[in-house]
Amino acid sequence: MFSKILPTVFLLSIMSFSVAADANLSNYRSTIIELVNDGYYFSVVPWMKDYLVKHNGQLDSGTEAAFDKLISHTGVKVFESLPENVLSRSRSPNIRYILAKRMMKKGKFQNALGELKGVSGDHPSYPFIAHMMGTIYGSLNENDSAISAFKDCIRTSDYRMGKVDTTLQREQLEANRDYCVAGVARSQFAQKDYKKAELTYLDIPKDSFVWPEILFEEAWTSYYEKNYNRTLGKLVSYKAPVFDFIFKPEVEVLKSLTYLKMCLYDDAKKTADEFYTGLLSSSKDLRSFLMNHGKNYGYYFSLMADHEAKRPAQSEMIDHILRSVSKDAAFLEMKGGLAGAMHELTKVKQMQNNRTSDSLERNLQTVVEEYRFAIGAYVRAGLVSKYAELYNAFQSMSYIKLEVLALKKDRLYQTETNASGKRGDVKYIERNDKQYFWNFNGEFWADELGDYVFALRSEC
Amino acid sequence: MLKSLLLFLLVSQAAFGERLSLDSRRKKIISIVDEELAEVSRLARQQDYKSPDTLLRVAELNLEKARLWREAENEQYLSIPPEERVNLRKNEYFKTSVSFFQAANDSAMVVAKKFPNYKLIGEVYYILAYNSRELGKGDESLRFFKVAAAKASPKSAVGARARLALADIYFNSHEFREAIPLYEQGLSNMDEKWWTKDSFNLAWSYYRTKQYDKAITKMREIHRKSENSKYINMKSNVERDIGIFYVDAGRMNEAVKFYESQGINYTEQFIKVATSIITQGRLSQAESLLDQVVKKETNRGRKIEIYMAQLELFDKFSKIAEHLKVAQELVALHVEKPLNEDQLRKLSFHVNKKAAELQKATASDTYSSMAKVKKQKSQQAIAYFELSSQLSPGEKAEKTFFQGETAYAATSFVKALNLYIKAHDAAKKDGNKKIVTQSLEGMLSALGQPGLSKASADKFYIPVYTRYLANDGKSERAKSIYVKLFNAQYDSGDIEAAERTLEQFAEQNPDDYKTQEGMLAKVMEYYRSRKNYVKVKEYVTLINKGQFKVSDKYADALRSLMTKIQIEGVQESLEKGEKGVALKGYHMIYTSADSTPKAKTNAAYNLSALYYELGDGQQSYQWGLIAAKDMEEAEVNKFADSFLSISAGLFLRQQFAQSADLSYRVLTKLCKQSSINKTVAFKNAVYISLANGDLDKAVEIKDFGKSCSIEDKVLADVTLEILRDMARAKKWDRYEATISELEKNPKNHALLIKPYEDYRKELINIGELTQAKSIETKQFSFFNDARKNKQDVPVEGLDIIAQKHIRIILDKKHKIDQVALRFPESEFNTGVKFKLQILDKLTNEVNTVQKTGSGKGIVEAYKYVIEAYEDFAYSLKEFVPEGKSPEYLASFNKAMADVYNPILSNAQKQREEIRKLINENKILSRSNFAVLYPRDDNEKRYVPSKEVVLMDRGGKK
Repeated sequence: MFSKILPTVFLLSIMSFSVAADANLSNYRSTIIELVNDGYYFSVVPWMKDYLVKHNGQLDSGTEAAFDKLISHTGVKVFESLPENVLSRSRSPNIRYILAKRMMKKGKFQNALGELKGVSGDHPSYPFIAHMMGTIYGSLNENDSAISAFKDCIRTSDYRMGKVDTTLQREQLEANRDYCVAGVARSQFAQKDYKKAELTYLDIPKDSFVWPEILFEEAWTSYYEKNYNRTLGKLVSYKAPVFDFIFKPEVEVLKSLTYLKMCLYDDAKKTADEFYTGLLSSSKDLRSFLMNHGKNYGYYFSLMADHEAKRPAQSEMIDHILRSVSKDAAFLEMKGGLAGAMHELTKVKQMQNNRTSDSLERNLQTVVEEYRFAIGAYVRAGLVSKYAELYNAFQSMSYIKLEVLALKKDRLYQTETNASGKRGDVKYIERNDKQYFWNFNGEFWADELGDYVFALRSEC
Repeated sequence: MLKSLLLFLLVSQAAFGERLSLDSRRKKIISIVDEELAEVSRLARQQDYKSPDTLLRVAELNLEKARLWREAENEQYLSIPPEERVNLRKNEYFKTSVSFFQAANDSAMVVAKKFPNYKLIGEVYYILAYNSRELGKGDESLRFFKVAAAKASPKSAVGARARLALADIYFNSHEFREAIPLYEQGLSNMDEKWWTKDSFNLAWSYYRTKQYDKAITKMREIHRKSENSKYINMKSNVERDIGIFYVDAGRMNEAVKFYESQGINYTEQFIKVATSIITQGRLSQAESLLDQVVKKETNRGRKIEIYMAQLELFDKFSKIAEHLKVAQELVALHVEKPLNEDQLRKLSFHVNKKAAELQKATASDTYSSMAKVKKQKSQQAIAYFELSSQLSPGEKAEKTFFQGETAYAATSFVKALNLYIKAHDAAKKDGNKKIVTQSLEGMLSALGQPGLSKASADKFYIPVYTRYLANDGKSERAKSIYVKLFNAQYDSGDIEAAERTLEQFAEQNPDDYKTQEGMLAKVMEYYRSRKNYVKVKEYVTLINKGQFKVSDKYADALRSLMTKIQIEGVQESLEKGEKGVALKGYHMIYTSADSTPKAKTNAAYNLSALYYELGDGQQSYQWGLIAAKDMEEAEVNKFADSFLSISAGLFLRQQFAQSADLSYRVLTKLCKQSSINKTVAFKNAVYISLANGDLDKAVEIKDFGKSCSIEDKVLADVTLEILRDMARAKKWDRYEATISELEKNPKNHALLIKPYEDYRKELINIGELTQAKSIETKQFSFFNDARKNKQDVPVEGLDIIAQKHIRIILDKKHKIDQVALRFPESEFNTGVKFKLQILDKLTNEVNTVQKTGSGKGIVEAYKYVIEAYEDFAYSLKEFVPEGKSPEYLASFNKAMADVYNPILSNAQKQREEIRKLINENKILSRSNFAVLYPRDDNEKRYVPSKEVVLMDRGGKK
């Protein structure tokens, strides 16, 4: 390892004297490629960015290859802050991915597609590219194209899984594939083909990283299929301890809404009331917490670090949300990047102390800071997002409650209520051929999750 | 979600029309609304009040709650008995609902203000408008409905409802032209169950704006759609009202066709239409409708039905003339062929009711100041009673009696009397005693009314009283009726009938002297006035025989009548100029044993007058004394002028004693009477006595006068006159007593200056100087008091006071004269100086005299002063010092000229002054001559001898 680094060190020493000169930009390129090849992925990130800024025109194939390799270890996050004109100099699919993501965020779906369409199916990033294309088509309500892209994504993700080196990469591809399965189901849902969507959702294995999240979508699908007992059954799975990391206020909203649809007004109202009772105070605290800390990302990084070190946060709700964020793929990717950078720093620090090692160390510290910053920002975004979900959920609960009250009132105005009738009966359960009837008895078994159904009779 | 909330508002409005059956249910609903409100409020807070949807929902819920409370409050309020409710404050019962309406308003207002471009702003204004309407804010409600209609799409439910609400407002305020386009727009965008109801208003709006064709078309559309259960069934309303639409559109035949097509009896329908619209107060339409139908209808039965409906209509709206006309039509139909029992019962009810009402109205005070109206009502009432009698022929007498009563109430007494007589005669025929009695009462009452002219009354007295007495001849009342009948007969000149009545009365009431006397007196007077003394004497004979019983007093009266008859003859002789016959006649009356005292007195007086005319003063005096003695005081007062004339005549004939005595006799009779002749008689009696030299008689009469309330002033004047005569008679003791008596009254003091002067002089003559001095002091005091109190002082009084001051002037003048001028020079100078000083004082004294106001005194004072000045001046001028050189004398004369010339000038100036005073004040004084002419001419005056009298040259005055 030591000998390998020598040329690089040599080159760096030269570069430090003429780094600004165009004539020496090729040397700079060689050094970057050399360092990437030597596995100093995180150390070279600042220089790679610098090179991308200074280099006019398209990247040559050697540099592109090094850049791809670099991103496959660091992820795209550290390059997302580069200006678009700089990023567009690269033909790298990874750079196109970043560009497309930005455009998509701006709603420039066609531009985003334009960037992505040129990427070859063989490229290692293609499964993610296809995923994004499916998402963009979905946003454009071009559901057939979306399904096609998502299926492409599924196929290429499966293919790429056999070719990656690390578990992290494999897991990323697995998650990507499952999201794309969900993407297909969502597109079918958007086409109002609920039955098909429901079946497609069932293709996501229960041990998938994405399944807990998708379970909620399955519940919605059942809801739209008017299979309210199944909706309730799917939602009750979230009560399982194994899902304690899930923080999803909408689960309760959908549950209440389902009761409402079944004219079980007292249940609907009770769910809404319990939601308010259980979460209103914590929500207010969360709002204060976010207001107090503003955009102090360092604080949020520390918050997450403390959380991972099992130190409890200010409230159970914050802990719950942190637990949820910590399971996010994006968070895990950044966390992996940070770990990689830290590992590389240790390695550089073990090097002989000279100008080169100093330069690399400085680079790494910059990168580490960037990761911390990004993680902190992500954690905050997670908290803000959950607060927004709570906010919306409270509103939804209020509307549901109002609807319940209005309907109850309407009954008083119109006709006498007939509340008689038995609750819970097998005949009210609707099944499809991928589902089996499980009678929930208050205990959760891992393999039963998502398969529970309720047997409540609609009182409408 | 929002959509469902808004829908709720509209649905709940409709549902609200249905009354909540149970209070507990309402409570449950309110409880839910409370929960909703809590939830929406939480939501609004969560959204930082930035969601108009949520705020609108708050408004809706408050509105809903307000309505629920309003209903409960209404029930509670209406459960209170009406009589208690009247005294309650209604607002207190609706406080809760009002607070929620207000809360709803507040929320809606926030939305309206903060979110003017809110997509449902029309709905917001609809709520505001609705609330305002509930809160009774009509103008605000109208304004908001207008905004709601403008902001909400016409095609939206709220847009349509806002337009219909607006249209309803205009409809209710009769602004049909404004209502029409709104109904049209609103109805074109909605097709729900209320369409027929709202369209019905639209049809009416067309009708009200005289768009009859459109109105009818719309009504027919409503009629058609009402077949569909989807809509409110307005069929009966259409069938009820379309008739009037057709009628007013002049499409009566189509209306008939319409009703026939519906299998409806159109007459019945039109009556129904009329009956229905009557209840809505649309009288004229109902009237017009029935009027047209009745013209069209030929079937007797249906015609009767229409008339019956008209009766109801005209009764309800008090169209009496029309009601009467219809009643008359129906009675005619009934007379032609009897109505059925029910119809007759109704008609009789109407006729009798109206007759009674109108009779009551006639009798009430309401129309007391509206004679025409009252008369009209009475005529109508009489007409109704006439109809009533036709409907109930057996009650003819009673109805006629009622007619009479009505005429009586309307003060148409002649009419009333005729009707009472008619009723009486009919009742008598029927043997209806009640009506006989009542109609007689009515007749008597009518006859006694002051509003009945004499001429009219005269016509009825006899028929009425005759009828009465035929029914009742013995009662107390009958007595008075006899008298009235007698009087009526007597007044109409039917003396024979009156005599018959007298006989009947005497027969029925033999002991009633008084009434018999009254009647007899009239009968006898009748004959007396016609000089049918034979007949008079016949009656006197009958009375004496006892056929007519009279009182003693009446017997006297009869005698008086006889005397009167005798006097009448004498009077006639007098008128013919046969004074001797007259004298004889009066003497005979005076001496006749049959003559009453009054007749005798009358004769005595006439004899006095007659003798006076004949110039026999003694006889005139004698008979005058008798007459004055026997006459009542009032009678003397009545003839006082004549008595005083006779007294004056006696005076002129130098029969002073008789004249004074007659005046005194008259005074004694007038003493307690209020009469201006009393003073004249008093003065005459005193003065004539004085003239007759009978001082004692004069004093007696004066003293008597004090008890007759003779004025103080008159008494004083008379007393002063007596004083003069006392002085003349030198009866100083009585003089002093009399003057002292007068002095008691301070008002007399100024008058007493002169009498006291006379007395003072007498005292001086007899040497009673102290008393004389005391009297003089009193004189000054009386004069000064009179001046102070601004009382008049007689001129002779003024002259006396002035003379007293002149006496001082004379004293001073005398002093000047006493000092002789002589030399030596120093003595001369002292004498001149002294005289000048006295002259100055003299001049001042003249002013004092001037102030007394005595013309004579002033002139005399001036006279003495001028004399003093001139005397002094001339003495200076003529003075020649003895033994002095010519130079000295020249010098002395020159010096003296400077002294006497100004004194002479001053004297001349005073002459001018007094001349002016004499001329201005027309002073006539013996001293005038002395001051008006220069000193040298003073002696050239003619002084007449003592006995000369100035001749009155007469001439034009």
